[in-house]
Amino acid sequence: MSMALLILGMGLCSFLPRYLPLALFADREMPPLAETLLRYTPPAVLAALVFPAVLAPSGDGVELTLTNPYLIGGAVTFAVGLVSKRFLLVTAVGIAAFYLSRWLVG
Amino acid sequence: MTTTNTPQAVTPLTPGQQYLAGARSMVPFLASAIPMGIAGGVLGLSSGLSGWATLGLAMAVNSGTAQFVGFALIAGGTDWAAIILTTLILGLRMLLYSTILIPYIKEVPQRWRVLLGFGLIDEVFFVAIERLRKGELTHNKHMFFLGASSLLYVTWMLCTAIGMSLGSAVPDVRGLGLDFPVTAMFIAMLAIGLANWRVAAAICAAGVTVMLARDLPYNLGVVLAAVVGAVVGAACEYAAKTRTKEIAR
Repeated sequence: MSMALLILGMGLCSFLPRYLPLALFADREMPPLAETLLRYTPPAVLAALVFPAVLAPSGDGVELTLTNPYLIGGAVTFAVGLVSKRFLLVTAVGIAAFYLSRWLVG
Repeated sequence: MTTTNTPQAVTPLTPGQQYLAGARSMVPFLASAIPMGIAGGVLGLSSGLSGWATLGLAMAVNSGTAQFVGFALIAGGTDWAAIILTTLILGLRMLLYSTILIPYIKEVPQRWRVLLGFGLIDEVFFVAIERLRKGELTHNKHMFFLGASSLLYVTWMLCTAIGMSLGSAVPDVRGLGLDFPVTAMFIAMLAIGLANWRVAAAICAAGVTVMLARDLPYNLGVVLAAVVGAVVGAACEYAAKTRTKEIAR
């Protein structure tokens, strides 16, 4: 019973941050400064998710080495993405580079 | 204002077509969702939760991060108030997502916003916001979101159940690099969406911040980095505008 309450509480805390802005503010105009800030937020969040995943994949220290497949795979994905604009192709090449360098490192 | 850059000749998709388009846009992400979902099912049971609690928690939070952290905290006997607070802090990133969506969902009815909010996860947000900005998603938006969210949700829950029934028969997937595909997709989005030097500045600022703030608890570094990156990007935009005005003078 109390486990059910805990799960319910966690569900609510996970749901409210995603829902409340949509419910409360979507019918108002947004000030221009907020709009500018929000335009740069998605790339900033992506960067914040990606940098640690690539530079420190094991969660310990920064691994700025050629034996870090996450770094190799990430760098290849980024480089290909700057040239080609085809999402699936870019991703597939990056994942292939990741597994290849993993296999080479052993 | 969201319809200003709508291509004129395009026939709007019907609700059903839009649902399918949403679901189809999530198919690449299944490569990560399937193994991670199965791993979640295994992890729940091995953390000492019952089958119902494992599946219930996965269904209630609809977030891999909150689910995995939750299992670990429950297994560690953490105080329940602390567990709930942690879940809330982990959700702060989502606060950014829904705030960014605000200008695009004005015509979506309130009851649909509940579903839209519940299904809003990283993958759905980043795919949807790109299409919304490009003007590729203009009609029956709620059906696109529903299609995308429901495909990932149903897949994740099925995989959780599969992981639970397989139990310890599932090999330990950690260390196999199954987390990389999602990272690769995020990097691809970053590189493809790199429109100008201001976006690059925002990305660099966020990257440096998140690395410096890695010791902050509860992923707070991600939120802090997002804020710093957005401020730097916006500041660059204002600086560029001011300079253009001065040159014109």
